[in-house]
Amino acid sequence: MELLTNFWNTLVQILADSGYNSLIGQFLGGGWKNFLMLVVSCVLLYLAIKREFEPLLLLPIAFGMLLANLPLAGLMAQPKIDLIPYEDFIAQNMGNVADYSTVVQNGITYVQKVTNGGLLQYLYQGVKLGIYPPLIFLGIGAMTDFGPLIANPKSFILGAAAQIGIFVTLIGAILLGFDEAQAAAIGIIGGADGPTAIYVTTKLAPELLGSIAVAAYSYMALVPIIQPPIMRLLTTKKERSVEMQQLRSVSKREKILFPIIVAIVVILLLPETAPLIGMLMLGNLMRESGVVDRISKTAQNELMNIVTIFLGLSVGATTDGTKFLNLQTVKIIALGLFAFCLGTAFGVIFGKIMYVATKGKVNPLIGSAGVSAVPMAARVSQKVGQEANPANFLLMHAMGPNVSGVIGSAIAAGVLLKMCGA
Amino acid sequence: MNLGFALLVTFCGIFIVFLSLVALILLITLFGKVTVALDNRAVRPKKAKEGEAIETEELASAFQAPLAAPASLQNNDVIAAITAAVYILGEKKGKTYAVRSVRPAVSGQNPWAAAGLRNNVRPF
Repeated sequence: MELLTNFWNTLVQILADSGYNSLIGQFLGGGWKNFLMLVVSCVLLYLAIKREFEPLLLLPIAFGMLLANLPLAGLMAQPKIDLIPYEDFIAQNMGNVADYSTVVQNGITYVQKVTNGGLLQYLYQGVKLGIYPPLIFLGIGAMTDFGPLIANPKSFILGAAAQIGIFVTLIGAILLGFDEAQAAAIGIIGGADGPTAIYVTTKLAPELLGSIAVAAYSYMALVPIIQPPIMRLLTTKKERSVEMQQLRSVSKREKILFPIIVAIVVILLLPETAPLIGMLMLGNLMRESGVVDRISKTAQNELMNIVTIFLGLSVGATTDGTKFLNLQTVKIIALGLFAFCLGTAFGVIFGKIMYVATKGKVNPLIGSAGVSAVPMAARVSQKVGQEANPANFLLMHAMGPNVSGVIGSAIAAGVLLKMCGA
Repeated sequence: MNLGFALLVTFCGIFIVFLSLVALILLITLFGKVTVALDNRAVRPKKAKEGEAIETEELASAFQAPLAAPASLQNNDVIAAITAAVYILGEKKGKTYAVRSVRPAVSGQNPWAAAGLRNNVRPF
């Protein structure tokens, strides 16, 4: 009988300590936010898996969101040290204090009992310390061919133009009540560069990381939907039909020296860009040198994949419902869309300026690829160009502004870190 | 609300981004011209020395003609991918190719099976 009673009491205790009890019991007290975030995470998982919206990042972000919003799981719990009076500890642990250190405060001896943090809290340190985004840039550099950009260096202008959206959005964010650091972190969404956005946000406004990361990656996935209407609105059919001259071939020597030149020129001007530009150019040099094939492949594959998993999971885990669901997140999502649209618009506008300056040799559509969503934005330029002229192949021409946008957004990030950082 | 600071960051940021990238344009353009000049100088003495005609790499104007995609080949992404692959192939050989036409391969055999067969029977 006593066994049955204990059995029953144990079951009741397990259920009382479970997440179900916490979710239901505290539903009206704020638990509904966690429940809503669980629903949001499932929607994002659907978009990642069924609709294939940037699945490589959206899937781990969405699952990290799901894990973080399961009550009592403690995956993002901070490590803590409890101070227990020495005599009490001896009594509880039958005299065993060998594995614990002691400290004396106000004449009383305490045992320091350490409770480890949650799994995702430790993975999150790579984000918090700014390690993962530069490593992702290392992989991106190893995967990127800067040939189209080297063949047509004027594409850099389009990459620069698309970053105007970042700074104009910063003004909008300040008008909506964010402080300078937060506004800078929100503005960087307009660069359409996930690692850069995460890196800047971690340095300037870590409390907004979850909202900004979700906004940035969602808009990157929506490039084929957001950009075409803006491109059609700002260009005429005649401009969209322009066929561009074939690019010259680029020698191996140029491709090897390009990352070295860019790293020296940019980092000397803005030392804050060193982690991002440095890693991007190192990855590219590893690829183009041809003498470190093994580590180039590692950077493009294994390293990139590992860091992507850790980054996505830990970023998603910062979207706790109690911190994510508020008016601030709505503003961030709206401003992020504004930044993205502005970046596209300015890229196309500068494309039109180049069209006029070159007397019709440059197709303005390649300007929209200046946002650094590689290679999706270049594909969108190709697709919209082909709608106007089925014989037009803009992909390689659009890759120039596309990859220059990666460099441009890293430079913009450096400026923001310098001017808005502590 | 520090609007003055926001405007300062905006103007400085746009200026610095453009300044950096314009500097890179000038450097890369200059370096490209130097490299092309060095490569041309390496080719010309070889031609004079050996007395052989070196295959011209200039594109005839005919190659600049627009590509006519057959109506049956609806997938623009495939054409773009083929063009990109041809471009890379040419780049590796130091030549410039232009795609003049694309038509679907007519074959009863599964293309993957054909590729696997070719890979297994090629001479080594």
